[in-house]
Amino acid sequence: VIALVALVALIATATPSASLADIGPVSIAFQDGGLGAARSAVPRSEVGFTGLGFLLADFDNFYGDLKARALLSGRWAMGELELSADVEVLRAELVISSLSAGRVGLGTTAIGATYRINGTSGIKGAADWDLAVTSRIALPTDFGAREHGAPFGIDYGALISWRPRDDVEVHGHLLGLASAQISDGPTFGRIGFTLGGGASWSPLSWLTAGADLGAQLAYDDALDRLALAIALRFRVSDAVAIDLSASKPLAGEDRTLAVGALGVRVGF
Amino acid sequence: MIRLLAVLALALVLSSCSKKSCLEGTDSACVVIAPCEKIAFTCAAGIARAYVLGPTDPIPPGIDALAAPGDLVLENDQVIAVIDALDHPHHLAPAGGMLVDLAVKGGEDGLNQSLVAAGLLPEDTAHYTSAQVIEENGVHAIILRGKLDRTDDHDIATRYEIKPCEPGIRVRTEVVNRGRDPAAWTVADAFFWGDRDFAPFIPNPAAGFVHPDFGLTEVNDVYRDSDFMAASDFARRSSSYAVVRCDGPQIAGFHSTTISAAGTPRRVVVPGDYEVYERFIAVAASRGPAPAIDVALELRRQLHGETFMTVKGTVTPTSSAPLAVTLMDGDTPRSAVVIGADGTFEMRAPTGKAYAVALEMFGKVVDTKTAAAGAEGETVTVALTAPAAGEVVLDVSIDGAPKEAQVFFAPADAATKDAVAAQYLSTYATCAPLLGPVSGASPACNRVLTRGPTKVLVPPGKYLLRATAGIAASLAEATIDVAGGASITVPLALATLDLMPPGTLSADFHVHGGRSFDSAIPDLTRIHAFLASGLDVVAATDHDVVTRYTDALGVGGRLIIMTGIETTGNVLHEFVPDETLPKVIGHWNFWPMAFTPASPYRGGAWDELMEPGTLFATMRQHGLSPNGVIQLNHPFTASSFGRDLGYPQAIGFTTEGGIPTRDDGSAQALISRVPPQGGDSNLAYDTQEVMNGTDNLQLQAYRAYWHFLLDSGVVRAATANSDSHGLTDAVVGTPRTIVFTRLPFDESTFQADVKAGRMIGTNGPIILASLKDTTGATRAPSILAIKPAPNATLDVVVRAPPWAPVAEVRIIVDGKVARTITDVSHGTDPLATRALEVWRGSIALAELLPADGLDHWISVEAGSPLPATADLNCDGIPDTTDNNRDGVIDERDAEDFDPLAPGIECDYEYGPVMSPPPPADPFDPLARFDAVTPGGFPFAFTNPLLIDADGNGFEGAAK
Repeated sequence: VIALVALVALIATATPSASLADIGPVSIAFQDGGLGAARSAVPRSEVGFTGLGFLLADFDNFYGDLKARALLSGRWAMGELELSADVEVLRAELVISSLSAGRVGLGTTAIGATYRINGTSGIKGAADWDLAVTSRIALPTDFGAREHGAPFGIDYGALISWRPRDDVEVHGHLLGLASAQISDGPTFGRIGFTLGGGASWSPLSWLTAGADLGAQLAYDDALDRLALAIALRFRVSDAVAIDLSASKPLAGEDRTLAVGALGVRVGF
Repeated sequence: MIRLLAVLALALVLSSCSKKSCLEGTDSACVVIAPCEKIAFTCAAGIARAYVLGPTDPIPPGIDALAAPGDLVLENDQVIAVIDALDHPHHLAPAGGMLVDLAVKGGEDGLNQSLVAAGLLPEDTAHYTSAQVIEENGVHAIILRGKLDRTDDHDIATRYEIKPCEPGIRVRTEVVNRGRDPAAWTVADAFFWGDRDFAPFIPNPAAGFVHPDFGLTEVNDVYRDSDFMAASDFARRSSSYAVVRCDGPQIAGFHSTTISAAGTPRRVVVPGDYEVYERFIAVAASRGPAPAIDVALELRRQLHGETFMTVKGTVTPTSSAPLAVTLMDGDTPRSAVVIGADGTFEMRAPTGKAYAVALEMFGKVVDTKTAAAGAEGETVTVALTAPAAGEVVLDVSIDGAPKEAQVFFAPADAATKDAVAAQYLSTYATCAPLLGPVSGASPACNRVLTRGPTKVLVPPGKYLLRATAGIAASLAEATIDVAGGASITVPLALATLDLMPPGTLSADFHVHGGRSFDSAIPDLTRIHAFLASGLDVVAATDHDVVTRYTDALGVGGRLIIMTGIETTGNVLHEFVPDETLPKVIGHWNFWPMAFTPASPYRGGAWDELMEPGTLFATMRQHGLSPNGVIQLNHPFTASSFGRDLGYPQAIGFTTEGGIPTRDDGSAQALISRVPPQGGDSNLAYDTQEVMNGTDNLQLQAYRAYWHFLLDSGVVRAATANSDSHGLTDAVVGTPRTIVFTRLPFDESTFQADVKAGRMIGTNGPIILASLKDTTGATRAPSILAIKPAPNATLDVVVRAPPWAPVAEVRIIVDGKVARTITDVSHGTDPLATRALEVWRGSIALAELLPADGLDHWISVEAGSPLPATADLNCDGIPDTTDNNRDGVIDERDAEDFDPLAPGIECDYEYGPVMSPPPPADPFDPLARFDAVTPGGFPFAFTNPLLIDADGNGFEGAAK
């Protein structure tokens, strides 16, 4: 509630900012802390609030997993460097099997940094393409989600974007990700990588459409997922944008049927 | 960043270094840490040991004991526990490593199985792959490691441990989610009570032995937290059990007389997380659950500092009537005890509260006293008074001699019925009167076995008594008025009827005893019941265990009991194509089997996860006699706790789909294919039950399936069996199979005659049917085809006990009623001592069969008209009667009909098939029949007369 109030206040007082991007990949985080998720190579300053819904329904195996996440995020551009923090302020989950169980609590917190190697600051026009390195660390703030263990995770890699026209961006990413936990149980160490690419197109000054294809490999299985993600971004004002996005795994071991997200971003 | 990563790496290394137990992984020889370390019991000379049961080691006593060489044993000075070996699992388990026997020293095992699971599905069940006995440094434990069944990434490990002096075993189970998806788990012991045996007890408001009904899809709704769970039987008083959680305040679970789950609360276990459950499973001598509850309270004192007092009392006068005392804290039952012959009782209860101490007699509360609140260790005494019961001496004779018989009590007026209808400790069936626990020895419920003058205590009232000794004896009845404190002798004279055809034996090929997981009847009572039913031959077919009764009653010359087994599918698996739900293959009988008392299943075999054809071959390799019989039991009937009881129903067989001639991969093809695992055809059995159970509710379904097979040229002999599990659920020998065979009994000849179908099935009437031609050649029913002369006649004689009214005789041709004969003789005296000839006649075969030169079959039936039925699910098998009595059979007759969600054609809710209720007049002939054949109506049938018109073998109807 506090986060929402703060967000509304920020929207009310926000000033137009050139850093509010209508570009960048469709970023839907399947892993805790958004590890391995695509992100923009262009630094920007904004705060956002996103609600995500995950649906896994495997009728043949009597299994269902419904997840709802509320994510408060912020990123600050300081020259070529962008620092970010994402706090999952709410995670509600209901697992339906022969028995059912649910939980509600905090989710994972992630902090990260992205550094643009080439180009100059600004969003458009300064360079035809941007190349950045990035890393994110996931911290075990999902108290109540697990009885035992404190998992940590990290991703690291490169981001690239290319703008052949002012209204089109093509982008890609290659990220390694790793996680493990401090626990009396399994260390549960996993290492994998994600790669993907896509494009966004802004046919109107207030509308951007985007599509990305991304894969996660070798983390849990050889191919965890190959997922298509699409998004519509509505620029409400120079300072405020609303994002509507969805993703669906097309192949791989991930049984998630679909993910949907609705978010608001406020640039500053 | 680098520093942060270094710190994280160090923490992970330290975390790995501090690993304990089997949480990191079960592939190595990990050792689960010791559970319940806050508990300590002391005694003067305690011992303990863990070992593998050897061929010469004694097996724990008790009718439910399953131990066999190779099993793992924990034993101390107080108790003995058996965990089955990995390669011979039991009941619901896909592999061994489960607790199957638990008894106090000198006591008897009463446990079927305690199964470790994380949920209800097959893949939630522990599948251990390694076992280790630890017997060193004062530690006596068994470690089991494996996965949840059919998973690669859900590790499980369990440690069973025993210490000297302790009245039970300690258990710790660890389950780790190494998968990619969160799981909804409880880690629990699933206590498989089986039904008709143990009853679980929890000290919750409005609970005790009372638990909500539920189906498999409603389990989440009936989950309860409780301080402990206890359980006991009331019939054999073998052992009582209790479970207390050591690593948490309460156990969570659900309870029924079929199964209880007691474990951790359900929760989401995310990938990388794990769940641990530590508990103490206590066992005590059984006088109801109180002795085990006493241990549970001591455990809670040690674990949680909860204190208890003792309530001690007497019941006067002492009595052999069923007496029990319940300790009530408001509406919360705290403990319960069965009162023995000495009239004393003693049980613990939490301190600081006053309790209502309620005395039940014949299931009714007859006295209540208050036990004042006591301090820790204090004993509060109460004195309870039982009213005087009436004594009835049943003097039953057969032909003037004292022989075995059975007497049914029924209230003779409404006032008595209201006064005496009761449940024993609020569980199991309601009986009127309740003369003893429903599942145990005589008297059970309202039934008494007699042999000579037999005394029984009954609540005061007016009763109608009926004595029976099977279908070949007359019926005797008496109305009595019983006063408290008075004794009355009731002579009941039976006579042997001239009913049974010469050259026949009366057989029941489906009978359970106490070794079955769903029966608690003692052996002696079981044998007594066999004799009281007038049976000549019995196939002892306990669930999943070969049974041989000892000849303790010296019945060798009067009764032949064949060792057999009923294989009982319990482990669900996915073998039916396009079927969402996992299934089992139902129940199959095999007899005679070799009995090997020191082997798993006492000579039988593990019978799960295979199709019938593979099962047939497996049982042949495990002791089925070369001339043995394989029987399809109750082919179409409702499932029990998700487990199908009949094979055709399990695979969704429809008559419209016919019998596939090749395996096309369809579910329908499962009826006849040779399984991929090998063995015989799934159709390679010998007999099928057409009548099963005294109430015979599914008669028309079984009959329709048998007729369909005959029409299809798949000829199997038909039988009629009681499927009795005790004295109350069904009357043994009703129905029964009359086998035409050579006398004296010769096993090889007898089994051959059974396989050949030289039999009729009946619950009273006897049908003699034959085809005769002018040459004098006579052919009786069997599955051997005949080619009669053109002038042949069907000669039929129907006889019946005078108490079994026959309303009509039906001639069935190719599954359809070709003629109904209603001008039959009705006896005037149901209590007469001579059998009644109901009808005798001869019908030209040409009148019955079309002159088409094709194959046909004939069966003769006699009894009541069959209730009208419909086939709402369109599988070709009748499934529903007019249950709402609106004159139409439709989905509104279905038990689960939901007017807000009506079905579509062939996808309706359906069932059940109900028998017409007996007449209200207790002296109506059908009411008399119902009194000794509860729920049933008169019915008899012959095996088929197969007409092979063209002499090339019987190919099916009109072929």
